[in-house]
Amino acid sequence: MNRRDFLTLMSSTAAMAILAPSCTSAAQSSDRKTLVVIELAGGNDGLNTIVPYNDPNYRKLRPTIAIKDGIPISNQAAFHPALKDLKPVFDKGRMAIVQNVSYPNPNLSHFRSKEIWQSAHPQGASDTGWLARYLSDVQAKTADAIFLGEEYPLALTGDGDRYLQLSPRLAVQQRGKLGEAMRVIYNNPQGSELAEQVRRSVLESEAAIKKLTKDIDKRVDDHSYPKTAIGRQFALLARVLESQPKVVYLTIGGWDTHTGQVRRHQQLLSDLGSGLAALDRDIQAHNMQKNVLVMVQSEFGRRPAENGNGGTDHGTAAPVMLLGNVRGGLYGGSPALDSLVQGNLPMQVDFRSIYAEILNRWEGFSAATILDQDFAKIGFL
Amino acid sequence: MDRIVLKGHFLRRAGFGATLDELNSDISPEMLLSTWLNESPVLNVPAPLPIVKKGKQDQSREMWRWLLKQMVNANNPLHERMVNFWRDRFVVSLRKIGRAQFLLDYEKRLRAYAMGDFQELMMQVTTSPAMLNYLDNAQNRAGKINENYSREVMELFTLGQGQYTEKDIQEGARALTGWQVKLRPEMGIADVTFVKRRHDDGVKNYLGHSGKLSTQDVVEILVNHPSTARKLAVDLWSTFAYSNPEPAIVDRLAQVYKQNNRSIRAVVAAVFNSPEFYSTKAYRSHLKTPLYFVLSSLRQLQIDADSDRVIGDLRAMGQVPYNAPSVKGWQGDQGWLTAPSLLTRLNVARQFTKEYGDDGGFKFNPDRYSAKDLVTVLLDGNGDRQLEEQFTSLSKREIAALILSSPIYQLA
Repeated sequence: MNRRDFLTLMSSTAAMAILAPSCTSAAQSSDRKTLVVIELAGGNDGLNTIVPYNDPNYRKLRPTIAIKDGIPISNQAAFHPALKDLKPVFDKGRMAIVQNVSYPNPNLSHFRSKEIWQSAHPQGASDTGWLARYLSDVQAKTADAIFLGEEYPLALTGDGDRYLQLSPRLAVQQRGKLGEAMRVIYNNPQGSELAEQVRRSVLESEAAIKKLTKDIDKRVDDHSYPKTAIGRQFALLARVLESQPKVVYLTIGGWDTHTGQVRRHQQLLSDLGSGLAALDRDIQAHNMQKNVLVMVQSEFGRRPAENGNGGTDHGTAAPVMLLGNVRGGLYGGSPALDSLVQGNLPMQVDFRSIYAEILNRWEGFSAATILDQDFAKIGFL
Repeated sequence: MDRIVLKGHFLRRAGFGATLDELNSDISPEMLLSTWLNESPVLNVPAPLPIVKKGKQDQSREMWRWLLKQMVNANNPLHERMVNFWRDRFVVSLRKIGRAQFLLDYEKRLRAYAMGDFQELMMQVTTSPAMLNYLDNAQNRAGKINENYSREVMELFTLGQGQYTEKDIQEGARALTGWQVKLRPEMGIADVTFVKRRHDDGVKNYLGHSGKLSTQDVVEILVNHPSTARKLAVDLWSTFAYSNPEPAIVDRLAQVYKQNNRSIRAVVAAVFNSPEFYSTKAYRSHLKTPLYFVLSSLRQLQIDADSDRVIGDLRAMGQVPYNAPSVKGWQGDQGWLTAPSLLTRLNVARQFTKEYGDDGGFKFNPDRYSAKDLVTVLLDGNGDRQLEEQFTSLSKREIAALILSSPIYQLA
């Protein structure tokens, strides 16, 4: 196999991301930066995440689902108690929270709103992702961005090749005689070139996934990630950070809480909070605390008033959380529960100004190239 | 190519793979082709689903159930492949549209016009609730222009990149104004109307044409443009024969399109009747997409499958119908050399062929086949020694699973 074939093969499977640290560690640059985007798909309820606990309107709007025992982080804002593991991270100044983030003329469809967040084009065509445009401008390679999840996001979709995609649920379950027979077939080179590519991709992917699964299990134990599907996703995320990609995109689903929100949201936030806290510990243990910036976003928040089923309907503005080497604290003001617009929260911060600050100050790249215009600085970086 | 190989190749391209009966019958590919080309399509699209506030996901599942059955059991596989071709080319996505009704309506349009005059098909697509919604042309109105559809219709559906200017996009968008989609829950349907006062009635200059152009004019200009003929020729050839056709082939097909008044049927016939179609360059030159892998496995082995399980498998592999990542659709061939797409197939192959109780989701009857039959139906009779040596210690179910998982079966 020549070098080009090898590289094609590696990038066509997940192997490159996994193998990179051991085979290129000498070439690793210590100041290479990684942006991690975590998408809470389905519309996270921002008001029950960062709770306006001193606002009397909050309890009026949510007579049955208001959070009563939040953990205060300022005079106005409190964490949902399920986020308790994040309190020390916040206290250390490694966490910034921008509240009231949305975009002009909010659209309450999941798809359209996701499309807007991921393309950063609130109007008109949105067939490329903002991260894909950035990555293609800096001439990123296939392995420079990694998507962790099932359905490939628009954010990473551009005109070029797909970036890597990984899911921990891929291990092949073949035992016994059939498993043996398959191994024999896959250990023999194929006559046709395309079949040979298939054979090699399968072998490499399988080896990579096997190694990965082992690594993840160990990581979950070492850094106390939650022993849940989401916890393992976070451990996988930490693992791929070792290959120093430019971007990692992780989608966590389940946030569309129209009915019986309280228990489900509690579980989701608990997984998220302890996952993020474990990730932060892991990052520090690997001495990458200056190199990784994590942004947690959702396509919209929920409506301030609860609905008739102990849940909330699609809303607008919500907080965006940033973890890592940030100027910790709260930005974007408190939710204006006394001046709702058609029952929804008015926007204070355009989400694109967060992207702009990340591109300008974290990536050292002119954001206007990607976002078509300039945005005022928020100051979290 | 020997008889079985030739027929296997034809049925892989003109359909989703042959069954054993099809391979063993006396009917030649030429006869099948002419029957399938000349049949008028049977439109058994389900009646409109009621428009509901809750339960939209159930309706989507119902739509997928119908769609998968339709694709696996098609009496006219070529027609089914063509509908699939248009579905992949004129992408609309359930995630944005959110309503299965729109997609059933879309299916009806694609199915009725799949082999007809390309101009009629383009008009049907352009004025469908699904497309008006997906590419925002329902929001495009005089004084409040939305260029989304105007751009994509040229870039992806007709001319191809580089054949038009930004000005053409703007002028085209003006001509495309006026359409509105209205939900009529009482009729269980979405209604498309043309609202005159929303239409920009002014003069437009579009791709060298000038006048008070309308949507009909835009469609007519686009489908009769020489670049459209060439793009369609390239796309049809790449799908059914091999990628990157020689310029002579493209010229030939574009000529067929022109001389037959944009007849899709005529171009498709020309593709399958070309000598190059049966060349080694074409044989097994594509990688099956996840959808194709699933459909060909189920169809070739006559497996009775639970559609919800199949959709779950497709989701894991990254290709649920009507859920493409963007308006460009899915990447072909090499785009599927990914861990999720390939590794999941190995698990799915075993799932499909396993013996279950009552609730297993898949019913496969291995008694119908000898080991030799399985090699015939799945590999055109061309098993290799390495593979067949493994058969001795395996049950017939396992032999089927082994072949479905083999690298060569992944090729179309």
